[in-house]
Amino acid sequence: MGTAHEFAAAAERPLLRSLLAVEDLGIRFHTEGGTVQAVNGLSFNLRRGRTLAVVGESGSGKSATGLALLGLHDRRRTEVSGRVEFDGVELSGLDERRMSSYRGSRIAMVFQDALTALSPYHTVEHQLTDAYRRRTGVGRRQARTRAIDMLARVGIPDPGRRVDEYPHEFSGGMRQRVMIAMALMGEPDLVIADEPTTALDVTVQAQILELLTEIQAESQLAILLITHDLGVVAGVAHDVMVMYAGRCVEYGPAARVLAAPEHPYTTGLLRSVPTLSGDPDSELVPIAGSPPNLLDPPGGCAFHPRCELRTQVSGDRCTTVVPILGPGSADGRTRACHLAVERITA
Amino acid sequence: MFGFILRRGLGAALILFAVSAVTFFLFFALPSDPARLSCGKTCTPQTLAAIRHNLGVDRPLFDQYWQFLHGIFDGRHFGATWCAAPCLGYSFVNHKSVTSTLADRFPATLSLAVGASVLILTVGVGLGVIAALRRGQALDKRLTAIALVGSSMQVYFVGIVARYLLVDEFSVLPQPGYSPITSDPGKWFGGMILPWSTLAVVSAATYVRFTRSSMIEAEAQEYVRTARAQGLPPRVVHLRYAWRGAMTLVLTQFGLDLGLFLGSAVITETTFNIHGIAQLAVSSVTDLDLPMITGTVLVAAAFIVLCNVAVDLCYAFIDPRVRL
Repeated sequence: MGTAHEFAAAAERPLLRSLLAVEDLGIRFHTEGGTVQAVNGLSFNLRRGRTLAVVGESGSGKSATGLALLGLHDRRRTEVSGRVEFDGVELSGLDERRMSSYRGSRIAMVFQDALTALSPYHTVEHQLTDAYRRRTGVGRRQARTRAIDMLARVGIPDPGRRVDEYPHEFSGGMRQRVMIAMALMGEPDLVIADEPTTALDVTVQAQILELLTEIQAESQLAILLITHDLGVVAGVAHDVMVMYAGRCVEYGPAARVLAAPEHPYTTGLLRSVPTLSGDPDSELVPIAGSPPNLLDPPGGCAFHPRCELRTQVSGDRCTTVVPILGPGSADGRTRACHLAVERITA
Repeated sequence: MFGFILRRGLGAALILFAVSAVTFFLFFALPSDPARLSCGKTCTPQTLAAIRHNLGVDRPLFDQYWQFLHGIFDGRHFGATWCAAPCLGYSFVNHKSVTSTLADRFPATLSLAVGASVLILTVGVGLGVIAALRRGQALDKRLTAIALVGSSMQVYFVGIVARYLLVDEFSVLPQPGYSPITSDPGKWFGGMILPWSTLAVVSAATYVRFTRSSMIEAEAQEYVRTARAQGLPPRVVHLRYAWRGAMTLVLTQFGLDLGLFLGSAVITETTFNIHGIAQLAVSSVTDLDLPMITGTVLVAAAFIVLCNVAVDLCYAFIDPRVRL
């Protein structure tokens, strides 16, 4: 995969070294129906203090990517290839025990639905302090104080009392805050947030995203924000990576990608979500068709069966040749489409 | 908590009342005449009538039931004999009070049930967890196979073979049987080893399989993944987080099985010659000993109701979402 290396090299050009460098990541699931290539040749970088949004429909491989970075995939059924370098250390191939030393302390995860992602059997205090105490060896009292501080930091009122409660006693938004407080316990450098706001209603979504941004500003946290919601991306992400059928189809600064997408899939995604800035009378257009069956993916560009602009490409390249990730209109932008940039933005 | 105990207490009382009424009236349909039984071989109609009157069996049925309930709370007379509360009646076959007979027999059944439950849960849950954690590996396959064989065994087969081999042939274990724990704990334990182990071999297998599947289900829960994502060591993730979820399922199963244990106690007690409640129930039915039947059924029902309350309390202890 020469292209992946070129891309990684191009992305490393910035002066600051990457905190997270992923190169040619491949994830294969062995299912009863056969083997699924969930992620294919994925490369990206993330620096401290930055947020990279990974966007795509369900099945695009975005969540699998987040889990695989920390080795949280089901090792019985999943095969991960490629390189994951975190702060200069190669993470891929570490055994469960050595991987554990990164989890929670340096890389923390925030999951989608805090009701199922938090243990129903343990108090918030226990869940916040268990790993922290085992790692640091501090006493119960001190850990509890820290847990209360973290709950206060994520904006939970009366944290001294609520720390003794169970997750089911919290509202959805407050529960997600608990989840974030839990991620912050170990003062991580990177937070992987997998659909952190999907289970919440819109006003609470905004609060949670604002909270993440605030914490990032305070601590130079790097955030990998996995979401299907482009609306979420606009406010918080610096960069965005759009995924389709396990591949990156477009990458670039969030503001630019959202303003002028250079891949037909991104265009389609944007047209299907309402925006506050857009024309309120403009119609929302869903992308025709459905995500590809990964057990039997379409040949060539995986998006071609749903692509409106396919007819503008001469010959049958869309159905036979997988488009490589190439430069977009500006520096730092890449895209994987056979059609020239001008023909998409026009 | 207080509300729970009050609710369950009332519920238990209602259930026991219903059970007593049903058994009392049901067994009256039996062709049994206690006065006739107690009258002996040389029985004149006059003595029979006198005994009938003394025992109160010449009164209307509902009156007799009322007397029975009265006896439970206040005690009552049977002819010249005073039966103190809680009086569950008087056996005319054995000429003994039902309450004292039950008090004699109950500890044997209780020893059997409690000891076997502890062993079944420890062995079954322990091996089940091991099988789940070694899923798909040789150890798991071996355990699952052994469990399958074990669960297709019967107490009266395993028990008799084991008794023949371990007790009669090689004298590894003492003779099975019940002796009171208060008089000689060592003898009590020795006599119980074989019955407990037999029950464990036969029933633990079910718990191995059940725990295995519950544990595998729990391991797939998102909160277990969160525990891993926090960097908790695998041992803690399995035994503190996943195990907790698996136990709620196992406990539910155990609550349902308690009644079954008591039912199968008839076979166990007969196999190992333990004179417990179950044997008493069988002999009472054969002897048409109505008061004894009613008494054993009531005590068994009370035992099951109590066990279920205990299981519910454990359930609430494990899962804080359960409101009492």
